[in-house]
Amino acid sequence: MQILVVDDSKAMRSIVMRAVRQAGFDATFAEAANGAEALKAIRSSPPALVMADWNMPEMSGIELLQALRAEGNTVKMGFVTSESDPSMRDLAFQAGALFMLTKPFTPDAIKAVLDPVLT
Amino acid sequence: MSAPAAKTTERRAGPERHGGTVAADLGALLTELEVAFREVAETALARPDVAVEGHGDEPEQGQQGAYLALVAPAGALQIGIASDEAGCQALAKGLMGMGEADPALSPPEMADAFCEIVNIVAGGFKGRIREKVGSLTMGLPVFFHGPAQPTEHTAVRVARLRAGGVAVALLLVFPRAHAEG
Repeated sequence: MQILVVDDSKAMRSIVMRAVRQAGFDATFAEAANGAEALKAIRSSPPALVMADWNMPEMSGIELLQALRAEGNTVKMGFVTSESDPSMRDLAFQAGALFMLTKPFTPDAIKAVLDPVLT
Repeated sequence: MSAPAAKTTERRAGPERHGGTVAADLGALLTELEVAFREVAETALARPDVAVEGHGDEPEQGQQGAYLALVAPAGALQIGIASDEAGCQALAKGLMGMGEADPALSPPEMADAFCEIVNIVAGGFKGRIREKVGSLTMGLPVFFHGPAQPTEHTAVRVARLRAGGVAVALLLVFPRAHAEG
């Protein structure tokens, strides 16, 4: 099972990957630094799940999700973001996001959102 | 790091609905920034013992840190977190789950992690002040060496904290008209 972690911060990508492992998921990881990079990666090699930040240069997380759905791509995707605005949460779920996890998070919080998605 | 870039994902009612500005109550905003930092320090930086040591209008010389813009239709402000080099290393390593005895992060690694700290604090701050100032759009964090410089048009308000032995400055940078309005 491969998870694509999308965040413009390399540090945060590392933290997300470590937390997923600590939560007990046996996953391999691919990384992208923004939505545009992720879009290319998903088109060439679809992962089991995309975990994306919201605010990123070039293409944001929500723009990535909207672009994927616009081309009929139904890859599973959720957000790991410092944003917690209810309007953004609504926008994410309307666009097809499976979860919206707010930073900072714990491995338990990761497990809570990934269990229903990956098991 | 990336240049600041305000995203346009939301444009709801802004601060004017409360009859003020983004900086309608700077003291209250600074307090909310302190609370947002404390929450992140406790949960993500392994520094539960945050104490406020004072407030002022002049940032410390010799500090470095990261800033992030919060933009509303009626105006904008920036928040910043700054410390000396050792303090920035300590906080960045805390975010990465590293101990103080671990090897130092390289300057790009440290700047990246420190920007992420500001990003997380900004998210909490934004959520805390939503009821006071309306919806804000977050920019992307940038790392700077040296303090934010007050100008004729720009003012700075500073909270000086100590987080587990690390001296930290929280900064609000805002149009001077807001402070006088």
